[in-house]
Amino acid sequence: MTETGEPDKIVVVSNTGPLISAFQCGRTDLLRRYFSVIYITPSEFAELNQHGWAEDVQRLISEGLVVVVEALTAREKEEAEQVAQRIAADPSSSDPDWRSHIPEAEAIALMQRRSSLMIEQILLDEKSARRVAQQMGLPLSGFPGLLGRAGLDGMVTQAEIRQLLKACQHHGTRYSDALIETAAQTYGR
Amino acid sequence: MKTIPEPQAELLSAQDMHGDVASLTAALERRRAERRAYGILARPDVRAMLDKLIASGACANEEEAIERALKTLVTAIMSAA
Repeated sequence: MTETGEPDKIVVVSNTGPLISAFQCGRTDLLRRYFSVIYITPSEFAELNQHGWAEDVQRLISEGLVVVVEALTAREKEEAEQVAQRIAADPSSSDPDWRSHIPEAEAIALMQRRSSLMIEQILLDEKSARRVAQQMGLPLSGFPGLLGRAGLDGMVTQAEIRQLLKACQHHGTRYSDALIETAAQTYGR
Repeated sequence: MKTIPEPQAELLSAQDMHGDVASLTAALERRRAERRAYGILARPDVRAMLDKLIASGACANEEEAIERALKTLVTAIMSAA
């Protein structure tokens, strides 16, 4: 906590998955609690719009929590393409077409290239993109980890963690039952 | 209609989540430490003392001045106790 009672927050870049999970379970307040700024790339913004989350993300943009960065430079795009190819080639990838992985690859490239943004973590839930980010030495978290931290801070109970992750699962996000139960048992109070 | 990109994508495991909680916790703690350090170092009286110590040649830099000041304080308190 700061002297004004404001909790400490960090700057992150996010892939679409963790944001969508927060929308699905109605807990964008947890994003506000831990992050001062969430950067997303133009391709991620387009992906969110394409999948029906325009209003939700626009609300967070209006309040200044989510910031869509300027278009990537040619050099950044080139690096993102290479990262996308690595993600597509990862054994855990569900889609061998590297072009499908451009949004998360751009988020990784952004964290690598734009040190002026002072990004401290990348939010990723997808296994293949996480593995590539880890190989590149980037600090990362996902939405269940955020819920875990919130559980330790007494912001969500064991039953709520279970219910929130189940809500995401119900809406199509493939969190496993084992993950959900472990999250609730380990971090819920 | 709200959908998710790559619905068949494999997501993180429970083990991954534990690492995420630790990583997020570390980042938040680092932020807290930075804020505290900034708060102290930005105080004019503290700044003046640090500048004086460095200018005198007693300490090479701020880090050394802070470390030696703490050691001196601990030694003084422990000796008095």
